[in-house]
Amino acid sequence: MGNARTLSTGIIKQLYAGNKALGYSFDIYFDYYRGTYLSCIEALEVTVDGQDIPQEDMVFCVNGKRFLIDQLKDMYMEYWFIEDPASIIVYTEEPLAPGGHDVDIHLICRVPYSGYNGSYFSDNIYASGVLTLEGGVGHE
Amino acid sequence: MNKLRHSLTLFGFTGPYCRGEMDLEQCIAKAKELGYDGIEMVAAQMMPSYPFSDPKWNHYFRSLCKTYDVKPVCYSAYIDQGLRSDRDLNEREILQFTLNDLEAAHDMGFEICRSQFSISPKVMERALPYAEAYGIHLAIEMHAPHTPSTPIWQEYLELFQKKNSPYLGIVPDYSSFMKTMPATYLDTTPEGEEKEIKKKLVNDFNNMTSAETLYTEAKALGNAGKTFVDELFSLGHRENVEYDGLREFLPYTKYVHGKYYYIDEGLHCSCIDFPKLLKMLKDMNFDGYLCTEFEGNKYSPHIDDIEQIRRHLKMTDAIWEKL
Repeated sequence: MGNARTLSTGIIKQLYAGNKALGYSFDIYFDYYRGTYLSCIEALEVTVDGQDIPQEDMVFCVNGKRFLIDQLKDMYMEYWFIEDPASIIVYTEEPLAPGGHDVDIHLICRVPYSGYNGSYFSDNIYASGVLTLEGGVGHE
Repeated sequence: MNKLRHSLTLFGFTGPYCRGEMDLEQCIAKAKELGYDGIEMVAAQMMPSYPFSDPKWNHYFRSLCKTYDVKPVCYSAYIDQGLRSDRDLNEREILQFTLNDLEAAHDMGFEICRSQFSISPKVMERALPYAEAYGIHLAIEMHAPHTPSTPIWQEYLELFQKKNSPYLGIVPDYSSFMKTMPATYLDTTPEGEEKEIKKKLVNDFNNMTSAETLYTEAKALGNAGKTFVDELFSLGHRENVEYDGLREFLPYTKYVHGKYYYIDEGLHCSCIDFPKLLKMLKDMNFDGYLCTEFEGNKYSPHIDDIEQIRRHLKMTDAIWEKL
């Protein structure tokens, strides 16, 4: 599958707790021909402006719920439907600069109906985009 | 003479649907516009409550079918055996997913629930009383690289013969009965010497050249040659298409995946013998549905899929009328 839809909102948002910068978030679509169980996500790597985001600084949000990345493997009854965007929160006290930010995603997803006895195919999904800070100055 | 009934799998709109260009309603409307009596829906793709049944959404789905006057025919389920990270699903879990699917299918008005062969004969037998209670034909799809003689299918045939129930059966996919390679098989191979060698190999394969000769010819491709020829033989069955094997399963068939990859302007499909396969259905007074399942973008990503869908409808109707 292509990666055209993954980061298609083009937006990144600054998050606050009161006046304190909490981090930022952006929406992500599962750009595939069907949805996935969260437990089938074998890897989720995010790079923002060239910096690899540590796994423990990220939270994956879908279906009104939030999951740490290392919790995903246990979420075998949680389904990410292809029409529903999930979002990724990155916790950092450093506020985002205005304008565009380069975001790269690498997802590895197990295809759960593709084999038996623990031997399944995994698909690699790569997506890149420039996400503009909401309310900030940036290009289309 | 009974008319052939046609179903369209909405999976054919995967491209525009997954890009957000078409929603479920537009897919259903398009199926009607193209002339289909009924539709198939892949739940994991288009049902937001997957893998569970949501009565409110099911009501919405039924109302769309009513609005566009299209019959919900087949609900397509997966056996997501590898969904857990620590182990495969066990029998009770596979049964529960199947019961959830049967309930959803029933609530949405579907006649058929198409599952996968990995459900196992044992779980299928356990699910039968529920399929009967819901009035749904629970069927598993026979798909390439499987053929009727694949051992698991003989186990299923024994189950179907033992139970002899209208609520258990199979959905044969014509990919299991492909004679030769599709005309578009090499469309994405870049032009050059390698493509010329492959074109000759495919042509010779289609013309029944012996395996020995093909493997020798394929040495021109180096190490990749054997793999290339192996794949031809795994997909194209040539003189060994198991028509007799299929015939044994037809009493348990209410829905057929009329799979194809390319139909030319003359309404001819070179790789799958539709006249022969449709005659088998006619001869048994088949009154189920033939589903148009176009998978040609696998080999030819830029092909006009709507045009290919139109050709399938015209081709199969023309063949049926002559039988």
